Amino acid sequence: MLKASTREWWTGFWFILPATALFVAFVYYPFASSVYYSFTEWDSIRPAKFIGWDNYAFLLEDSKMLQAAKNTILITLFGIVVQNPLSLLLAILLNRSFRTKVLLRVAFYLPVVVSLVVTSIVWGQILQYDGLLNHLLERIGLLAWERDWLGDTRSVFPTIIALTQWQGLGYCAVIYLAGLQAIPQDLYEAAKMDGAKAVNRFVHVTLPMLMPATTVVVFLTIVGGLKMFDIPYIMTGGGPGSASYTLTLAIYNAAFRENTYGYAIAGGIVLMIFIMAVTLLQLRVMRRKEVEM
Amino acid sequence: MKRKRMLLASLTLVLATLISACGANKANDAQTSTAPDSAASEASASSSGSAGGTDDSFTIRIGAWFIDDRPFMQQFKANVEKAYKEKYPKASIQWDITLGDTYADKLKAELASDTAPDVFFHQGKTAAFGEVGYLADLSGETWASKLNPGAKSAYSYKDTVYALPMGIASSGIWYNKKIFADLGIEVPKSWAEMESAFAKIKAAGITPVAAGFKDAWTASMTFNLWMQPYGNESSPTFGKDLYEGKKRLDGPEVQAVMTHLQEMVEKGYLNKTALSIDWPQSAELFTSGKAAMIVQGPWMPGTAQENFQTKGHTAFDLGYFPFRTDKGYAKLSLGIDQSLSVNAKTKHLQPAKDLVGVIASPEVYGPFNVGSGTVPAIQGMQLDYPNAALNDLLKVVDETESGMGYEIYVPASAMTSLVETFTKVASGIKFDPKDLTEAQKKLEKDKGTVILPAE
Repeated sequence: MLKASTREWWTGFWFILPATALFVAFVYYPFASSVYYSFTEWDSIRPAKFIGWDNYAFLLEDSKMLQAAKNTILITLFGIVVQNPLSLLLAILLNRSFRTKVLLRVAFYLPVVVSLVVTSIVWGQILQYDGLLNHLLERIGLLAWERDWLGDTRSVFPTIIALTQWQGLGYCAVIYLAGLQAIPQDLYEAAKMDGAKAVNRFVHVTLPMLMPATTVVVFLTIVGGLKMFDIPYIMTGGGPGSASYTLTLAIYNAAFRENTYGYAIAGGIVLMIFIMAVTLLQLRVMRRKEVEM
Repeated sequence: MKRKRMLLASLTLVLATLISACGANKANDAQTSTAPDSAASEASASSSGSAGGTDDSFTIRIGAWFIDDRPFMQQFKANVEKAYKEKYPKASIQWDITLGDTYADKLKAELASDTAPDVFFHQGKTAAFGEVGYLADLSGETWASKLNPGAKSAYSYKDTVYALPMGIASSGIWYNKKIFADLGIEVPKSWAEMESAFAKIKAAGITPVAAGFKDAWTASMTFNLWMQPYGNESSPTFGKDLYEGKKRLDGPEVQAVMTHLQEMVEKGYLNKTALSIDWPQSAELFTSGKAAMIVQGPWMPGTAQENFQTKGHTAFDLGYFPFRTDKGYAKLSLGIDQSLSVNAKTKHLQPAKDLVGVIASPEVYGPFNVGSGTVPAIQGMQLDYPNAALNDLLKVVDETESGMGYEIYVPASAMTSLVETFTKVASGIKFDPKDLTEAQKKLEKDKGTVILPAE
């Protein structure tokens, strides 16, 4: 006869076995083999050739990867510094009572749910040399500003940044909106009775109470920014030159377009470690600032 | 009892999870069309694999990425079905079609997991697939002895024939004959003449060259066609020299092309939308008469015909000429778009070889080449090309020195880097020779990914 605790252990074991087996087969094993392949020269067809740390060393020499890293960090920083306050402002505006509130909430959330393929076609039409934006600039007499927005090395990356911010704004605003609506009204009433002005109420009530939402938004912005792939992939493919590459796009191209899978995996592993380090740091810093609800 | 029930429950869970994870996902295929012959499919599942007899019923899978709605492609499909039915009346062909780039990635995964089609098309992978044993030896087939030796690198690896090249394509510069005639421009015989043609066309208010570099392959094709004469003029074995380090990607040959591109951009010889429009949009620019030239493949006359009919553009005659160097040297770059191979692990080896044989027959192979505007890789096949522009192309191919593109010696990563520099210059940024260092570095780093072509 088995002891009750042993029996219980075996029962539990059988129940978690399927999920664990799948997890090992589809997550841990591929990850472990990826680590191995990152030390090889491998084109995914012929046998892999072990080359030690060469792939990792070349990451630091590869000007395209460095350009992509710079672009990725810029997108992320813009997300934190520009999109974050903008989405908070938008949430505050959408939190007020007015007749078109629902319509506006839907309008700002639309870029999140509409297929990126559709939006990229529309933006492509707007931004090309004989597109809507240049016609508009022409109308208002800003001829000198006319350019092929996605085909000009100087304007392509700022345009990509603007598109990423546009796409993410509504999503972050919804999180802030939920945070705003969770703040107890009596805190504002108490602050009013103490004579606090609107600015003070915002700084000393709203902002501290919104800290959990801010943590989530900043976390999502950082992860989303560091993993940015779809917009540059669809809109520019990383070009012209390597002006609009992001790390994930450079890694994708290294694997699927250039057949240097070992090198691409090395890039992927470095990016994963970087994302883990940044997000852990961010969560530690921001959690300390959260107010106990 | 309770324990047994627990065990049964957990086993049921295991099974349920496995079944849900193992569903063969055929929905991933962009189009999988098969003759709706369930009896044949069942028979194929139980067929012994020795389907040598013509009365066996089985299903044979064929993979491709380019068989779309174009009439000549649909005709090709119908021709294959008809000819194969004569040989194997009870067999059915399952067309496993995934349009576009994803096909190549899917095929690699299928080959690695032993689920690839019995017969499949691929692009330039004969040596790589042949080396690792994915392809069946086709040296004994009747068509194999008639293949054009000039395309040897596309169909053989270590003297074994592994593929049937579907046709030899030559790409170059297509021009609007009416515009050239109206402006009194002769076909340019050197870069200087090319520049004077550009200037005349520009002065007439027409864009000299239509470019659609939003599609990376058009930029890549333009650059490679342009490099071929500049590289081979400096050395007849330019590609091999690059591989062996005797020539460099940051050398004077590549610099010459980049410098000329910069001059073109500075003088406004390309459409201002060059980097934000794709190839169909650039084709429209050309067929509408707004641009006088376009760098494209042998499919251009067919596309022009289609645009004249469907987009209301005024029809004109197309002409064709090659890229030339400053001194007037031309060398055409020959390429094989599709190669057809047999899966080494197919259970229907003979029927698969017979399917390739059917496709290599004049009744199927001929119309396919006419439709594609390519020259047969099987020698001795006389074809009649109804399109005058294609005859123009074939005449140029006959009269001009040609060879496989230099780029077969260059790793894909270095090529990507070169094309990125090319598009950067096309976008209006001044060419900096230092930009080419990256391509040279990648060539040296990824040399191991190049399989030297058969010579």
